[in-house]
Amino acid sequence: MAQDGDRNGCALHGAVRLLEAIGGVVPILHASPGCGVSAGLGTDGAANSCDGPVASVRELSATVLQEKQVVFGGTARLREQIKNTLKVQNGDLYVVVTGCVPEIVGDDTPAMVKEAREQRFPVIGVASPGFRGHAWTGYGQTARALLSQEGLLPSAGDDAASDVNLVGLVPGQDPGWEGDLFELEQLLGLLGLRANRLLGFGQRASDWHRATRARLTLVLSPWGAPVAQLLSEKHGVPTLDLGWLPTGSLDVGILFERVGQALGLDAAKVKATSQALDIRQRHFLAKASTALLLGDVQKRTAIVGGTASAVGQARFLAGTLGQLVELVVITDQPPEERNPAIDEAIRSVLGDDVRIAFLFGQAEIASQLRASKPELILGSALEQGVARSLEVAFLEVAAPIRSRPFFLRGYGGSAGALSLVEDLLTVVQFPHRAISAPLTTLAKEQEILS
Amino acid sequence: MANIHQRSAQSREKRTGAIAAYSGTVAALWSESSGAGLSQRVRTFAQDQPSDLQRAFSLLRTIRGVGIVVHGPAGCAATLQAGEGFGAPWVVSGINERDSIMGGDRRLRAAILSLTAAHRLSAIAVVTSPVVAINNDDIDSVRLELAEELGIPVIPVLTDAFRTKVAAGGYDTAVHALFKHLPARSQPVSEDRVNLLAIGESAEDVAHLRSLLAEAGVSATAVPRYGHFDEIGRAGQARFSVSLDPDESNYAGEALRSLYGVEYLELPVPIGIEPTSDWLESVGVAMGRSNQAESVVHVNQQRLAVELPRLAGFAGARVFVHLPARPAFAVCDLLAELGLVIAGLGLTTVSPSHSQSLRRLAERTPDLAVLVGEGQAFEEVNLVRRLRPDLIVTRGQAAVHLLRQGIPVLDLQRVPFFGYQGVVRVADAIARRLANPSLARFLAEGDDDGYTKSWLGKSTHWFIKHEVK
Repeated sequence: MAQDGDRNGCALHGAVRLLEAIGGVVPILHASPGCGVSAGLGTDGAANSCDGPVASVRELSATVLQEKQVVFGGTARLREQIKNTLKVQNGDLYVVVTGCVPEIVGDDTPAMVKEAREQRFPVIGVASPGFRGHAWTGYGQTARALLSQEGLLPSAGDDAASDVNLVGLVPGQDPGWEGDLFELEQLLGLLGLRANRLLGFGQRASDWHRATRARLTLVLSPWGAPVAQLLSEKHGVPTLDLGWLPTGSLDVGILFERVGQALGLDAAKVKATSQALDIRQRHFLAKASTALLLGDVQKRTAIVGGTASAVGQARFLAGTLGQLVELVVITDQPPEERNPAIDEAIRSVLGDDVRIAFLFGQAEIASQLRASKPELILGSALEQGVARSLEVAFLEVAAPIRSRPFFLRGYGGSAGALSLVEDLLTVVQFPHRAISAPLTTLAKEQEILS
Repeated sequence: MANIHQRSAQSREKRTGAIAAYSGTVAALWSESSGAGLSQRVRTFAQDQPSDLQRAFSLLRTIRGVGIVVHGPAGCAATLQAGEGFGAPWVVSGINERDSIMGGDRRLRAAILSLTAAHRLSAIAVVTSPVVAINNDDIDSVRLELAEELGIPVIPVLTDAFRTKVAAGGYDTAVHALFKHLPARSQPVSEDRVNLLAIGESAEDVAHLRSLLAEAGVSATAVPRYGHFDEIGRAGQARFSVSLDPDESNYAGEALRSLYGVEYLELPVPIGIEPTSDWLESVGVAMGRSNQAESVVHVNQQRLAVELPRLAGFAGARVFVHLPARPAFAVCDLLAELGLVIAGLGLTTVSPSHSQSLRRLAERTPDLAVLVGEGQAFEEVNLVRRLRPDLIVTRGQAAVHLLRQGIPVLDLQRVPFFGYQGVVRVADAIARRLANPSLARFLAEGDDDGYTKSWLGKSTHWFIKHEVK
């Protein structure tokens, strides 16, 4: 029940991180001070950056509610903040994101949003109090809110509709979300398809408008499913629910095949494209073979992370690289009805011996890891301690991330899988170069003071 | 004045008359602060700023032996997870919607027990969130019951995010809670030692000041930051306490005075050559080691006198300084000593106790632009575009919005700036920033369409209004 080292943030964090990933979309926080600061500092906010007292500036429009508004209501303050945000921050779409406090005191946020809309301002509202779910949920809720207001989204003009929407990779929770989306865009491009990343560099509110006219929505995690459902029910866009992030050429091949079937592509051409990717991957893995063989990298491995990445990585590491993956811990608390499919996606490649656990608490996960005694752990910064105490190789692949930033790097797709191999070779062969934070902040401080 | 017997610390607004919003000249601010007092202002447009929870975390996470239980929805603990506190044991009670209505005592209990099951702790700090504060959750019955059951203090740190605009009040709340719940000591023994009242300072700065004192034959212990809970009580046996940043140290100093009768020596913040020397000499005098302190001062001053011309190679550069008030004033003096020109000043908060420093600035540069606030990037961008400084000095602000204006930024988060060491390190860091401002220049070449033309053309104080009671 209690959440130690909680890695999943809150709904407001998911909402803010999603909105910040779309150009021209301006979030307006209706919340007590600090909620936006937390959204930026949790999960990947500290990657390779700051420790000690932090007051990161997020440039987030916010009502920063004070006692007066808690007691007498904050709607007037929200009205003022909406009006002035329009005057200060440029945007195509303004999204009021409500946190716990206004939801508890019962502020009539929808009335304020409606009032702004009546003045023809593009403003929508998303209720995302932290007590109603984690950041993964906040992603889904917010994406649905955007897509259900397509009338307010600026149209992209007469450019061709995209073919495939990519949903389910969550900014802030999936460390490599931006690189992975780029990679999938590139891969689908090999089939002659235009992907709609929706998030990250160059993506704007108009791309969300475009999404309503796509030919297919590709679901990459349980959190993309409700988004795809809305696109399907409201806009008639069919869904391809893979449920995880394809990693390595074999799984990209499966993705191609299913996309090809869904969109009626020429099967021979799809197959040829897959084979070309296999050849490329073979080239690089053969090149790495000296290191792979001499480095004795075939390890009993445990993987800890969100569904999208953990499933994809488990399938690639076991199915292509030959790692002995013995434990997979899924940390994003997917809806229970998704668990059998997740189980099946892992077991279909790894067999029945692999242990699959759905956990998110640091202590519970640590005890699972201790019990299974792996030789290599892929996980979040929260697993670094147990890896160190077990004296095993460790690679940071899940949020919270502390070791380094992720720009274009991701571990998904074909290129991402090769990056994963590069990093694995580094941590397994040269544990002293481990890709993880060198020392905990506290330990470092004590060292300085001793 | 700290009143340790109250339930919790008063907000900075009430205790010190602090304000968190102002934009105008230093002369006008001084005139207001030295007159009827500073009047509270509000922003009719604001950007998110840190809360008192985050400051409380920043202090508590450094105290060994303390486990932190965040009582609130999971997201409230996010800053512990990543930016800070990595290594300090903590848990969040994870209040859900039902608990927000029915009360979260069951979860609080489970959270405390799970933390104590996993770690050997001397105390538990229960840090409360806005949701708990609004619902008036009964945390006392849970914590008192568990304190007895577990045999360790379970301390309520009553933060709520919405009762203050000054996040640093969270330090006071944490200090209040810690000192109020220290285990009673049977035999107070006097020790020949000084309490170094560290609240938000970096480990490197504290270590440097402690080593300067050690050179002068003065033994000093950092309290409460970087201390061990079991040892904090020993602060009551020290000869006296000395401030680092008086704005932050004050609450702990007064609390120790009122609880244990330990004298509190409040001195100007030891940043820059003269203030560091004064600080060291004052502590030396109070400990009866003035000769040794003077000799440490002498050696360091001589060394810096030789180095200073080399350090001041960027004289004439115009700087915008944005820091908490006392360090800001001290850094301004230090920069002036290094030959730089202060182009503008940002303060996270200001109170009537800063009147003297404001007067000194107002007499020298009455029209100097001052901005008071934290996290208000839109105002900083507006002001800095007008002032066009060559450099911005700040701390822990991740001020990419200022870099985008084409101006290099020196963030003192990782650069020690206290004491004699700070003079050299700050000068060196400034030289590096000014030697190659390519990154800022490159970032500034892009289209920055974040703020409207209309806002950038307005006065910085446009959205700051006097508060209507």
